[in-house]
Amino acid sequence: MIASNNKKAQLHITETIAVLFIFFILVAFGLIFYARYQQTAVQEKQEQLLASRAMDTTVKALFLPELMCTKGQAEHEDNCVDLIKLNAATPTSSPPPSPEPTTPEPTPSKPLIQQKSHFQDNSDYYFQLFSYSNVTFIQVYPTSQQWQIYNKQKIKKSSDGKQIKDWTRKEPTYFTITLRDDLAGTTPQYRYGYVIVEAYS
Amino acid sequence: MTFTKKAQLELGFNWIYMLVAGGVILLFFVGIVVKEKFKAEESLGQDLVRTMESLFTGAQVSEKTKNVIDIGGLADFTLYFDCEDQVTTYGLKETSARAENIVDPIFSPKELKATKMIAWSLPYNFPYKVADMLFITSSNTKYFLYSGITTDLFLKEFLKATGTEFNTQQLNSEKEYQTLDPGNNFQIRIVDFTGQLITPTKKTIPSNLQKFDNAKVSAIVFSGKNTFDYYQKQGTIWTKKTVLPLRVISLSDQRDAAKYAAIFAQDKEMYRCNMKKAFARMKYVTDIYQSKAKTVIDHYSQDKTKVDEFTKSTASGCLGYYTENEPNIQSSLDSLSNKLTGCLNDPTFTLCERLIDAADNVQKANQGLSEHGDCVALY
Repeated sequence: MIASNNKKAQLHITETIAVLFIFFILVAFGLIFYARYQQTAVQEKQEQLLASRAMDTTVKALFLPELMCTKGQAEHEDNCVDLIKLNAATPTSSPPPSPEPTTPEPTPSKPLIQQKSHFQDNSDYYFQLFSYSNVTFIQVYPTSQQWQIYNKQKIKKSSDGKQIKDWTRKEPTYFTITLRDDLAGTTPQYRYGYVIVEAYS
Repeated sequence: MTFTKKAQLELGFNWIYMLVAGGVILLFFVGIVVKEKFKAEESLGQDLVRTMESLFTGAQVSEKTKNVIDIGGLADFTLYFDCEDQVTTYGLKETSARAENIVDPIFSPKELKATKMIAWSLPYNFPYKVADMLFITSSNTKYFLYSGITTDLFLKEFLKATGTEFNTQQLNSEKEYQTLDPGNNFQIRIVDFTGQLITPTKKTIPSNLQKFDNAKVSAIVFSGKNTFDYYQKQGTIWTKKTVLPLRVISLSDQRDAAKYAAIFAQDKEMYRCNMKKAFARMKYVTDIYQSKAKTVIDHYSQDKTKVDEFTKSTASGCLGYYTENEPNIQSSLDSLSNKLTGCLNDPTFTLCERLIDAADNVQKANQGLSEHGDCVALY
């Protein structure tokens, strides 16, 4: 009788342990699933934020009072850049870039700051507007030309003291623009192009 | 006998065990719920701050349009705005949701607690476009406007421009002012265009406003067309918050963004701080215009040496507006740039008021260029 009771108690303990074991396994599964879900959600949110920042930066670049085409006290011309002001802001321009690889390179092949534009010179102020991004105006007609007005990448120092990029994603946005040349003749001439804003994250 | 005791012990142990285990499990889930609730509130606050950041960007695109933002989810929170050393800080009180802005001039009450936030922007042209001034208010911030018997032109324009989205009411007589009904609003701003409704001698607060918290009742009194003082409620009387009248720093008569800014700004400090933000941007914009002027001058100087008589005479005429006439673009821009530097380093704001003449000279020179016809205008 006593032996039978002992066996019953042992069975109870084993049963309890098994239930607890399964319970904790389920809890662990739940936690892992929740952590994975959170990770994905955070990643998605970051991507959304980057896309939104890229869009915001494009809008800011398109409506810069420093570059917009004005007409006295009248409303400014939408999506138009004053070429004289653009040249004044970016003293030297260059031909358009060669196609870049879609995935970012481990270290930037070009210097991180290429030309000193008005926006680059005053990057402490314009950082609030453009944050970590690359803003380039490109003319495609009648001739090809480009003006990189701002480029600031997140950088860090490697173990050997070199400056390397500290970003993993780049979100490019494009917008078509006209470039107004007031010095071309008696009436302004319009050229066509686009603006690329690459936001780094 | 022994078996019964054992059974009792086992039963008691099981119940205690179940209670402890159940309690721990319950506590675990309650903990998760509390944490999630806290996170959701924080996230809502952060979302609002981000929405506002996007709003400031959007305001530049859709200038002159009004955005009514539903912030009903945050009705229990107080949204605050502050500006110090040309940095605007805004966010939700008693939470970590906050952001800083050094670029956009943002004029608003110090605090908002409402279900709807209203944002509106106007371009600040001084004389060329400098920035977009952003005005923030709420559905429960009421503006009482008074211009006496004769309706002030600006008041008319203000009412038309703000439309039905803003919580405004025109007062037609002093009696209406004395008996005004503040309703169920969070804060009140009196706008006196006559300079006679509230004066250092007429400073009794209307009886219906006396129950309000001091910080929630304020007034702006225009003593001249473009000079004004701020007043704040202190018990049952108005206290003048400005020693000398402030000046609206602008040139335009219509849609005068700087005048609207004065009405929407909480006080002198907020007005000056945000105007300085606009002037800081203006310095950068002016640098570009100075470079543009130089390019155009070089262009006309080259044209002047050409054989073609028409080109020569056009270039000569245009150059006059840029370098020789009085006022001319080059010297006016240089003067404006110097005065801007002075203004930005002047904590008293006195030097900023001197910008008006310099900006007016640039405007006159540019008008001359536009009227001449064949010349490249500065802006």
